[in-house]
Amino acid sequence: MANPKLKQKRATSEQNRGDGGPVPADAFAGEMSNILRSIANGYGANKRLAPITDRHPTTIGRYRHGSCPKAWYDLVRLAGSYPEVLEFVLRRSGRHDLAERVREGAAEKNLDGALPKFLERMMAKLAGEAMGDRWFWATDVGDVEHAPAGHAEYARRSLGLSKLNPTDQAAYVMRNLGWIAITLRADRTVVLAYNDLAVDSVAATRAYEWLLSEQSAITSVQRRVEVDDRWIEATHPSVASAIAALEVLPSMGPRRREFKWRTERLSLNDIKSKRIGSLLGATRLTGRQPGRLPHVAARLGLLDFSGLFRVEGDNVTTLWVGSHLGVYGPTVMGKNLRERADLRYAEMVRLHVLGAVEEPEGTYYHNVVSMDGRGYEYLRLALADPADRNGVQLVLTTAEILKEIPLANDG
Amino acid sequence: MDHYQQYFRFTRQGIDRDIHRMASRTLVPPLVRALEQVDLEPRATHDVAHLVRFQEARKDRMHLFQIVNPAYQSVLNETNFFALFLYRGETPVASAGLRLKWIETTLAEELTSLRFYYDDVPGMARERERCVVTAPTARLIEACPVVVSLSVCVDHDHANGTAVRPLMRLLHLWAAVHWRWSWLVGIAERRVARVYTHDIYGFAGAELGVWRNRPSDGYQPDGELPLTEFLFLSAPRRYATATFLRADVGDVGRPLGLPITTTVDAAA
Repeated sequence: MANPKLKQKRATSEQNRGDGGPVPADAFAGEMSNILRSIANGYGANKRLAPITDRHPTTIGRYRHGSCPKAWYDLVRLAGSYPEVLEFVLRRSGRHDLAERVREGAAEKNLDGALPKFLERMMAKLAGEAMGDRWFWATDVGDVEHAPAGHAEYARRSLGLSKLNPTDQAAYVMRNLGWIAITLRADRTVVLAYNDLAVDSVAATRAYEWLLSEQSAITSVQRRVEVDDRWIEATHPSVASAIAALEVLPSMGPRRREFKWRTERLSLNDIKSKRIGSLLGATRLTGRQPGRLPHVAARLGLLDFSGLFRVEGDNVTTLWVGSHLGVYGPTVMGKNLRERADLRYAEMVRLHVLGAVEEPEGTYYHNVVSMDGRGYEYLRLALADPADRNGVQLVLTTAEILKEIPLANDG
Repeated sequence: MDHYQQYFRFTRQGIDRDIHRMASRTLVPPLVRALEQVDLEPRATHDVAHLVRFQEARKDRMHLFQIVNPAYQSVLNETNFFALFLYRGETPVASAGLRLKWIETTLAEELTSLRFYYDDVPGMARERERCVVTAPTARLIEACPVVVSLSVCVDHDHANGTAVRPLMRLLHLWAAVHWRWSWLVGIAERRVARVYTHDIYGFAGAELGVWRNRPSDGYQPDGELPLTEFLFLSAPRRYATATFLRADVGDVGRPLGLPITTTVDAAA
């Protein structure tokens, strides 16, 4: 009695064959193996073909028995050596006009330079048909992420939204986070989609690098750019022209560098900087009185390296920023740190300053932070004056900048 | 009308790119999620007709504010009007709106002269219609664009924190991100203002006051229109951006306007 599952499988297989036959890559490999068997048959055929392809005779044997070559490029050489192979490849690619001329011996001459590229593209197309589309995101945090279930699903998952949300989350992350959607189609063409205004420089750089790394397997590139709610499409015949188009994106230059913040509390005993040490020593000698710290810093010539803050409750207002601290004073002086657009920096300074209020000896930090488009590594001491009658305290910070880290370059 | 997220996008007129990114990534999704959890969907529009229809259906509770009533305003479009609705299925259950408006003299003067409410005061205002303003901040707001937060109307079943909090955060967040303005203002009845002003709407202050004739009020026997008391709600842009563009705004359980706790760990 026949196994019903096997019977069903066989029926499905026959039905598939009746509908569309074998998948193109398999059909191509099957026909190619017939040709390979016809041009070199009998004992030693594999060895005769091997030198042409630079492949081991055993590998050639597999080709001749219908296995899809992993490196389709071998066929380029075979096509160059055997008109039968070339004619077959041209017919499968729809270039019957050229296939006819192979017999006349003219095609090889005409195709001389373009043949390898043409064949590569066709092989890649056939290989891709068996593989299916693949989706990637070039993100603003500097990764090219594979999105196995599509762009929208990945975006939805990374935002933590439910499947019920009807919004096109792919469009949302493109419009807001500046991500670039990369689709690697089965025919090895690539589609890049992004929002013209929001596209992120890091994402653009990653997409650019991805194209460079994958260019040998890509046949053409299409760009879909959202401009004022309309999608504009541009097709690039080569990867090089797509790369050139990406390079002129406004967001590609200056490029944002991924920046890792670090804040580390150090012991006051770790102070090695003469400048910071002198301030700490002077304040210990003179004692603390409301309003005295700025005078001590001024006497030591440290005001250019210092910041002065007024602490009242949870509000921290910047009164003074030294000219050597990399911050343009008028943009911050007189303002509450809570109002700074750079929330991370504002919060870090606020905590540092409030920390000094709570610890009379002062706080000493090693920070690597970014502010106003630049990165800084520095050591900073924060000291607080005693509170005045209104409960207001002044906090003085003095910094020793160790390194300035450019966050942008000209690309 | 479309999902709120379709209207949330980086624009040339908007805020700094990094702050916008933070809002898109860490504020909008949790607020939308908070609504989804109670089976509500935020939908937005620049078409005032939706707000007109919604409020007409609820005339017993709230009348359309003149500054978003097409009968009194000649231009209401995407540059000066935004409305947010909450839908349960295909039924709208809540609304809130924004109107961007240029204040030529002082806001107090514009309110008193009724120019704030009507494009053409002599032709549109009712006879003996009045507005009395004593709020000090309204006299400070001068020659600048203001965003008027208005038409907050939530069906009683949804009027608890689960709907109003995310609704108002999404609304004011949109204003902070997409428009340039100097003040966020609104008026509210005293009982509403007392509960909602700071924690839920995110205003900096509520002051006495604004007395005005409501559109639904009829003439009294003496021929006058009754004056109704409202509190004047306001927040300068700095305060509003510091309030709404913070990573913890996505947590609807946390009241607005509280001092920032530590975010250093998250930033490191």
